[in-house]
Amino acid sequence: MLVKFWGTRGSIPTPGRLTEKYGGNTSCVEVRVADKLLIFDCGSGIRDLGISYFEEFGTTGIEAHIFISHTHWDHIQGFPFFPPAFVRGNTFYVYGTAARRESISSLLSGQMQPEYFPAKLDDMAASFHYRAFKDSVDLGGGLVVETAELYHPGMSHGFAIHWEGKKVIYATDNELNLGLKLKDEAAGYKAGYVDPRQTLMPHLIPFFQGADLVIADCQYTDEEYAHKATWGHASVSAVMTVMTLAQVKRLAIFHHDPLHSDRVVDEIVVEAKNYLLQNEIYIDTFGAREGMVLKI
Amino acid sequence: MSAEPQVMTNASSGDAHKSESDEQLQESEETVVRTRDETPPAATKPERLMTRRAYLEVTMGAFPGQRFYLGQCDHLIGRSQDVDIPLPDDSISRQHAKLEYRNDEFVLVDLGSKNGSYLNGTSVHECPLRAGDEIMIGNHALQFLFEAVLSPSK
Repeated sequence: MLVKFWGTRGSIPTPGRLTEKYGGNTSCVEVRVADKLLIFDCGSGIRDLGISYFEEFGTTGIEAHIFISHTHWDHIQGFPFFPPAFVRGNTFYVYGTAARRESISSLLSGQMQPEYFPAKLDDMAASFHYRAFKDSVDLGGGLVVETAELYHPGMSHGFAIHWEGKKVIYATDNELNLGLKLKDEAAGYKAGYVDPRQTLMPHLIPFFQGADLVIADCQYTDEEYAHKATWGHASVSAVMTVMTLAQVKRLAIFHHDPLHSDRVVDEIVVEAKNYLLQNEIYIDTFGAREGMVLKI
Repeated sequence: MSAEPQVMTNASSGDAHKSESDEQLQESEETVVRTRDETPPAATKPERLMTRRAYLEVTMGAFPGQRFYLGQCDHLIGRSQDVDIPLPDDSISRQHAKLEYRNDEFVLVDLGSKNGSYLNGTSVHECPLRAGDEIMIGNHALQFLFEAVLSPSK
C-alpha cells in the first residue's frame, strides 16, 4: 500500500517560502492499494494529483474512489480544479456520509454554482457515481474502507483502509480533546486526562487500534488549544493520548495550521516526540509533508 | 510624462546630535530614482549571479564531513562502486536509493532497498528534500544542504 500526501494544510492554502517543507495545499491524500486509486478529500492538493494522473496514465481511462471526510472548504475546494473530472472516459466514485440531509453530489455542486465557479458539476464529463456511506465501504477483493464519526462542528468522518491485515487511517478535523475527560475543566483544556476509554466516543479506540499508520489532525500546540477549544481540531497531547492508548505504529501529524510556518510544525512534532519520551512509548511520529510517499 | 530623473538626497538638517563627518557622508550619498522609461546605465562589469548548489554531507559513517555535490540530474546512492554516491556499508543495498531531480528539486526515492531509507528518522518511500533534512541509509547519515555560489565573471 502506498500513501502519498498531496495536501497537508488545514483551512486555506498557504503557499510561500515559510511553508515549503510541509506544503501549502489543503487536505488531499492518495492511497494506492490492490490496483485501485483511492483519494481522501479534495483540498487544493488534488489539482496536482490530477495532473500527475495525466502524466502517468494519459488523459482517459482513469478510475478512482474519492472519499470526502466532510464538505468544509479546505476539503472540497480543489474538486472543481481536478482536471481528470472534465474528461470523458474517466470514472469516479465519490463517497459522502449518509448522515447528512443533503447528498454529496448536491453539496459538491453548491460550490460550482455560477456565482462561484464558471463550470457546473454537470459540465464534468467524466462518469461520476455518488455513494452515501454508513459504516463501511466494500471495494471488493478484501479491500474495505471502514468509516467513523469524528469530533468536528458540522460532523467529519475518518476512514480506515483495511487490506491484507494492514490498516491505514485518515482521520482529520477531529477534536479528540472534546472526547477526553479533563482533570481540571475550569482551567481549560489541558493535558492530564482520566481514563479516555470511558470518555471518548466508544467506537474510536477500536477504530484506531493497532493501525499501521494514522494520518491525524494535530493542528494545535497544547498552549494554542487553550484559546481554540471547540474549533474542531486537536492538540498534541490529546492526539498522543489516544494514539498511545490505541497502540498505533506510525503517526503522521496532519492538517497543519495556516498560521504555522515550517518551524512551528517542526516544534509540534518535537512536542509529540517529547510526550512519547516522557511516557516511554515508541510511535514513529512525523509531520506529513506534501510530496511524501510512504509504503505500508 | 517627463523622463527627467528625480534626484533626492537624504542629507538632513537640524539634527544637533550628528557629527560633521556624518553629515558629509550623508550629503555624499545621493539616491537617484529613475523613472520607468529611462534606460539604466550600462554596467561597468559583467554581473555575477548568486546561485546555490545542493550537496549531501556525510554526518555519520565511513567518511564524516565528506561532501557529494549534486548536479541537476538524478544520483544513485548505494554500496556498489558504480553508483554516484557510493557508501561502503554492508547494511546498504547495492543500489539503495536515488535522488531524483524533478521540477527543480531533489526527491529522495527508495529503490526497494532491504533496510529502507529514512528521512529525519522516519521510513519513506519517496519525499522531496529540503535544506537541513537528514537521510539515514544503513549506518550512514547524510545531510542535505545548499551552499551559495557566485557564477564566474566573464
